[in-house]
This record gives sequence, C-alpha cells and structure tokens, in this order.
Amino acid sequence: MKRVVITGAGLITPVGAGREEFWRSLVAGQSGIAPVRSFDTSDYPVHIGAEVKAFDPAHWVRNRDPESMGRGSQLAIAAARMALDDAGLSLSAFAPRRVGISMGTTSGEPGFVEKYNDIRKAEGLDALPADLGAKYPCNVIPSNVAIELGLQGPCLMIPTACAAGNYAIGYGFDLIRTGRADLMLAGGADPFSRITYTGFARLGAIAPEKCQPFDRNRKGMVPGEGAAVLVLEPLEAALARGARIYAEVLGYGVSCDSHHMTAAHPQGDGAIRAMDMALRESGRSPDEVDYISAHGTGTPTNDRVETIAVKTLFGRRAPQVPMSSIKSMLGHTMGAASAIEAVACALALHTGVIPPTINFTEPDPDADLDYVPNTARQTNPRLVLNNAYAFGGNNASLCLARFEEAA
Amino acid sequence: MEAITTDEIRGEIKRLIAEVTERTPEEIEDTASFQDDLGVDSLMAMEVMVAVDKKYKINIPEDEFSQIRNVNDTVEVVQRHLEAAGTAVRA
Amino acid sequence: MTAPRIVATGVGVISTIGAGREQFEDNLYAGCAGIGPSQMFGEEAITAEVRDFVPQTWLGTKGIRVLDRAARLLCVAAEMALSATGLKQPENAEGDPQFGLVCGTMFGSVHSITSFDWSGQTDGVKYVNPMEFPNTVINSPAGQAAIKFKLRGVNSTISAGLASGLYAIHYAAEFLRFGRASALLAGGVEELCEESFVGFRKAGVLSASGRSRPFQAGHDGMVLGEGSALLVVETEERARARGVTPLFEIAGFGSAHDAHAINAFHVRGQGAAAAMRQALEAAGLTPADIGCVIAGASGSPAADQMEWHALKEVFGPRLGELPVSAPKAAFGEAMGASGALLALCGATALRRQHAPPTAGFIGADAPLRLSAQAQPFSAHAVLVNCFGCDGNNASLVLKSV
Repeated sequence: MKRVVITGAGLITPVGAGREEFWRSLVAGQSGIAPVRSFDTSDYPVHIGAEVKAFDPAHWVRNRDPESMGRGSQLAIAAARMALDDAGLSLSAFAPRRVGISMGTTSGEPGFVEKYNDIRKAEGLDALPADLGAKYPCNVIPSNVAIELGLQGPCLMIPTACAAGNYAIGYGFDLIRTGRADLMLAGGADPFSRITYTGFARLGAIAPEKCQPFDRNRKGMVPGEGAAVLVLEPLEAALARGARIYAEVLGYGVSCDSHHMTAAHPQGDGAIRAMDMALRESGRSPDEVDYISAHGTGTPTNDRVETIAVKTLFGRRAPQVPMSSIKSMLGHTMGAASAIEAVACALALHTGVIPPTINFTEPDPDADLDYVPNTARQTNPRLVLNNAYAFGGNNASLCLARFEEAA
Repeated sequence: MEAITTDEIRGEIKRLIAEVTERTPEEIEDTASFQDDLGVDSLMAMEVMVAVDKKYKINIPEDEFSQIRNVNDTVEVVQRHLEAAGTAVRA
Repeated sequence: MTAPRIVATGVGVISTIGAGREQFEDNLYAGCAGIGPSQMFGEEAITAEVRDFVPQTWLGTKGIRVLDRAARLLCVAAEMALSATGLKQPENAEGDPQFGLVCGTMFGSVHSITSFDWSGQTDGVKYVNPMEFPNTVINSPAGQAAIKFKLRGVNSTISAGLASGLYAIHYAAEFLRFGRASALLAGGVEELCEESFVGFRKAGVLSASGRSRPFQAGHDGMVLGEGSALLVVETEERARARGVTPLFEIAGFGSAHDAHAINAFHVRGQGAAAAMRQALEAAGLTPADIGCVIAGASGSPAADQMEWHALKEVFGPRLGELPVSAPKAAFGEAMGASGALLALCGATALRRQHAPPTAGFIGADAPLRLSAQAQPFSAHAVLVNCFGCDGNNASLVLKSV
C-alpha cells in the first residue's frame, strides 16, 4: 500500500480565496459572516450568511462558457485550478486516465432547482430551457471539473451532505493508496442556496448574529458556501519531484448513527465510531492526537454531542486535546465544509499553528474542553483528526499527520 | 371570517397529530403527552405548528409552541391566537 | 497476502418488470418489457415506471409517510435483500456497526428539493414544512434506509451519472477489501419524477415513438424508468463462515471519464473501451474469457453507437460471436438504479449460462449478436457496462463462484 500525501490546496471560501489568504484570515480569527446578499431575506427570521464575495467565474472557467454551469461547478473549478497551481503541477506530466477527481456536496447545483421553480412560477414548465436537465445531475460538479481540466480517470461525487468532503478525500486516498490513480483531486463544493437557508431557518437552527461554537450562548449555525480541492499523490512521486508536502493522509473512518435524519445520536455513538475507526485504520491511538478540527456547527445539540463523543473516546485526556471550530469564521459551508477543514488541518500540521474558535466568550458547563478560544495557537501538532457529521446520521473522521519520512 | 368552534379546532389538531404519528385520530386522547405518549419529536412538532399556522392564518411563536404538551393545550393556544386576530371561537 | 474475494450473497430488486429476484428474472427471460403509459404524468407519457407501487406490501404501514418515492423504492429493495440473506436485524437489536449501505443515484432528491423550494416560493417561507427538509439532501434515501434497517456502518451515496450503480458496487467492494465493513448493501435507486422527466423531454433525448430499442433499427431515444436494486456483498470467507452460498463474485471494475461534454456521448468511445479493459484487467481476465456482455445501451442513437465502437475496440473480430444483451429494452433507463439492475442481469446470465433476451428485438442497427431470445454461452465471466452522456464510463466484471 502506498503512502499518500497532500501537496496542494485550492479554496474559495467566505474568508478568502487561495491557500495563503484563507490561512491568513483563519489565523487572524477573521469572520466571513455578513448579511445575505444573494437573495432577499426579509421574509426570514434571520438574515446572516457566509457567502463568497468577489468571485469571478470567468477567471477560472477558461475552456467553456462559465454560464453553461452552476455556481457549485464554478467554485469547484476555481478551487481545482488553484490546487494544481499550489502543488506546482502540470497535468501534461500525467497520463490523463491516471488522474481522477472525487468531490462531495450537500446539494450539488441547487441553483437549477431554483431556476426551474422560478420559470415554472413565472411562465410555466413549457418555458424551461432544453439544457437545464443536463446541468443538474448530482455528479455534475466533478464532471465539469474533469471536462475543464481534461481529467480522464475516475470521476465521482459522494453527496453525503455535510460530511461529504471527508468521504470524497477518503475515496481519493483509497485510489492513490491502491495504485489505481497517480493523482487525485479531492474535496467538496456547495453554493449558497435559498433552499438550504429556508430549511435551516425553518428548523430554527440559524444563529441570528454570529456563529459561536461551544459557547454557552451559542444560538445556531450559519449557512455558507465554498469549495476546497486537495491534491493527493503517492509519497514517492511527491519526493521525486521535490514537492512541498503539507501533510500525510493516514486513514479515515465513517459510520452511520441510524438514529434520526437530522438529530445526532444523543451519546454520539456514530461520531465515536468514526473517530475510532479513523485512528485504528491509521495505526494510531487517541493518546497521540494533538488537534481536533471539530464539526462544531454552533447548534446547541451538535456541540454538546461532539463534546460527549470526544470525552468518551479520549477519556481523561480530552481536556488536553485542543479542538477548534473554524465554522465560527466560515459558517457552515455544507458539503465543502470538511474539505475546507481538511485543508486547515493540513496547514496546521505544516505551519504548527492551530486556528481558533472565535466568538467564544462564556464557557458552557456541558462543553468544557479546550476549544482554542479566540486566538490561534502555536502547538506544532503531529497528528490531527478532522470531524464531520451530516443529515442522514452520516459521520466521517479523517486522520492526517505531519509528514515525517520514517513514519 | 366565520366563527370557528373549539370542536373543529380539536378535530383538526387530532387529525394532524394522527397523521404525523401514523395513528387514527380516535387514538389521540386530549391529555396524552405528545412527547411521552405519542412519540412526537421536535421535527414532528414543528410540522404540526406550521400546518396549524397555515390552516388558521395565525403565527404561533416557537417558544409558545414549545410549551404545548397535549391536544388540550394546543386547542387553547390556537383559540387565543385566533381571538387575538379577531376571529370568533365558539365553544 | 491475496486480496479477499468479494461476493454477492443476496439480492433485492424492484423495477417495472417485477419485484423480487424471481419475478424480475422470470420476466426478463420471458422477454417482457415494462414500458407503457405513465400513471404519474398521464397516459400520453410513456415510461418504465414501477406501476401500482404499494410499499406497504413489504414495509408495513408504519414509518412510510416521511419517505419520498426514492426512499420507498430503496427500502423495499433493502427489505428484500436483507430477508433473502438472513441479515435482517430483529426489531429491538442494536444493529451491526460494521454493516452499511452504499447507494448510487443520479438525480438524487431532485423531486423533494424542488417541492420544498416550490412551497417556499408559493406558500411563503413561513409555511414551509420543516419535516420535508431532511428529504432534500441527496443522501436522504440512504439515511432513511439506515434508520429503518439499523445499518450502522458506512452509509455512502454515490453519484456518477448513469454509471452510479456500478460505481457503488465497486465502492462497497473496496470497503470490504480494506476490512472496513462486515457486509454491505450496494446498488442504486432512482425515482421517476416530473423534474427529471421534463428535463429529459426538453433535452429531446426521450424516444418520440415511446419504445426502448437499444442497438436497433429505428432507435430514437430512451424511455425513462426507475427502481432500485441492491446486492448484499461480503467477503467470500465471511459468507462461507456463516453458511451462505455466494451467488457470484464481483471481480473487476474499471472507470474512465471522457472529459468531453456534460450532455453528449463521445462517439469514438475511448473512455468506454478504457473502462472495459480496466475491469477485465482488474479481474485478471482477457476479452476471450467473457461469456456475454450486458450492455448499457438505452436506445439513444449516439449512446448505442458509442458503445458499439467501444465493444468493437475491446473484443475485435470476436464481437460477432459474443452474445450481447441490452436489458434497458425491458426496464428503460433507470438512471442511478441502472447499474445495479444491469449487474443483476449479468449475475442471472452467469447462473443460467444464457444472455437475457433483448425485449422486442427485431433487427440490429449495429452488427452485434442481440436476440429476442435468451442466448446460450459457456463461460465463467460476464461484463456489465454503464456509459453516461456526461462522460462517466464504468464497467464491471462478474465471475461465477
């Protein structure tokens, strides 16, 4: 089995585009949450969101008309191009059939559902354009990236909602590990959508002013959008070309609560099993983990249950393991979230700095771990877990390590 | 708007609770606890609230709705909001 | 150390040509087609839908209300597959944390998400039913099935267009090879709905004559179908240890993307040929080992032509003797469910040593050995194809055990 490393990262997020801007914002504790601009929220009880600002699709979608695809695909293409640039890779050096893409999402291209209904309401279904249907299938995002970049290997979407990014990175890892591909682009993408916003608003899950995970006064999550793509390649190839290695992927764990569509298992059953499986597969123990990137949405239940799960698995050591939620800054970017968070984990391993949970003012007696409040911290982590949980009871944890030659 | 009777409201509430809990309206007792006896979770409760709001053109605030425990409570809250909106409710 | 062999030990299926493995196989081999007037969109519309679908027949009366049609179809297939292989959990059991589900889909929750948004746009945001929100996520059928059947292991939804079902079976086999699961349900589901139907109709790819005629003279597009098929997959070792006879082996998978267009087939079929070659290589076989081909052809002229080109490239002159079957003549284009339905056809072909009939076949548009009758062969392996217009190509080799 080959060792797999992360050698490039591309992102479009509410706190900035590209690895450098993203990481600067995160370490500085900057929030990307602001009043929603992409649609009118006056009928909603809440008005904030985490949208991507100043995104020019035409700058990234170069081989086709950017308007021929949805925003999810545009964001993904931008992230994929940035990731390849960041890795210093040219695709011409690879056999096209040996390069693949694996992406995650919650809603794919919901913009076309909105368009369908807008046309249906205004003019009736007969007025639908002929090409609308082909732009929607759940896997259209990785297909659009493959077409734009000429990737001819495996091409898959794993739409496992808000844990999808970790699933997609896991699949990419598997393909490199087993030698089925020489290079994988893996990540997640989700565009801002009135549908998602409506749903979370109706569940009463959106915070009115800010996202404050693990704080006693946390009032909910904040829907967001974005995309992240990681470059995964075999270690020997990365070493041979003298690549900058951000981190090594050691393994991942997935599980299902099989409990409730929207509510987490109260004792964190699936969350515990996902972390445990990720560590076992990586050949590591909970004692070695020195940073956890929390799912940490900022809803009262999620943060309580995730804390219970970490305490159960890590036992008495739990308070010593720093665990932060960058959703405090980015909001919840849905299917992109765990991919963006995986980049944050890789950069934490690479730079030695762990990003903070901002907006943290008052500790919660039910959530009493070290959430890295408000300020980034230099801790030089060596082994990290990236947690992600989703509707449908899906859980996925990814285990990354600082690259050390003799691992 | 025409006057509504409390029996009509009661019948509607029972119909909705029966629907979300997959029972018949006859099985829903006036004082049975939504949560403990009928297994109504928070999502189901919200579904009922939205349906009630929609049916009677009222807007019951979530914190008020979350206090409701059974059919009797619900009828009372709906009646109060209807009357506040100027709709007569007869016994 | 040799990689463990991955086998299927149970099947659940619901389709326009029947529910349950026996009915599906009998109708397939009788040459029956499930194509006809729609119960959903009016008699003018011709579809391959699951008619008179009453999920309560299999699932009882409780817990059905919250499921959308896709989740109902998937749960019916899961119920049948689990019952068939003795893996159904008792009512109050906790459930095996290593037993999961991998489900392919193409349009996912498109109907539920559209209805949810429609309610917001017409009734107003305030009156949207929050209970409908969970069904808007693409993985909701898989999540609902996990709750219903206590599937606590991996729960992945897999989307690769028309190739989704084959990708899902491959994904499950990989999980078993890595020892990440004890057993998995793997396959696909798709519900027919207004949104996908209107989308395809507007794109002009549906058969104007209302007939599904893959590889045949006069083929003029596809007929949309739906359904769900799930396999129970596990390692051969585990199956034997629990006293279950494997039905067939999942021997090799291949995938390639044409990177060409999202709505046009790549005529030369290089991606399709690459997928077939990879699948053969992964199974340790050559084209000469294949007894029959279960084609993905759906009656769309460009797709049929592409598959023919690709078959010619892989099988060369032998193609003239190789039995080919195009089962979408019987159950239409079932999108995310197609791959799993076709895999089931392949498995049946292996067992019966006959390629299934291509329903209503009268004469080929391409020089391929298709027939309205079952065609005998003698071999231990078959090849199953799924090629999509978005460039996603996948092939799967099944072997007898």
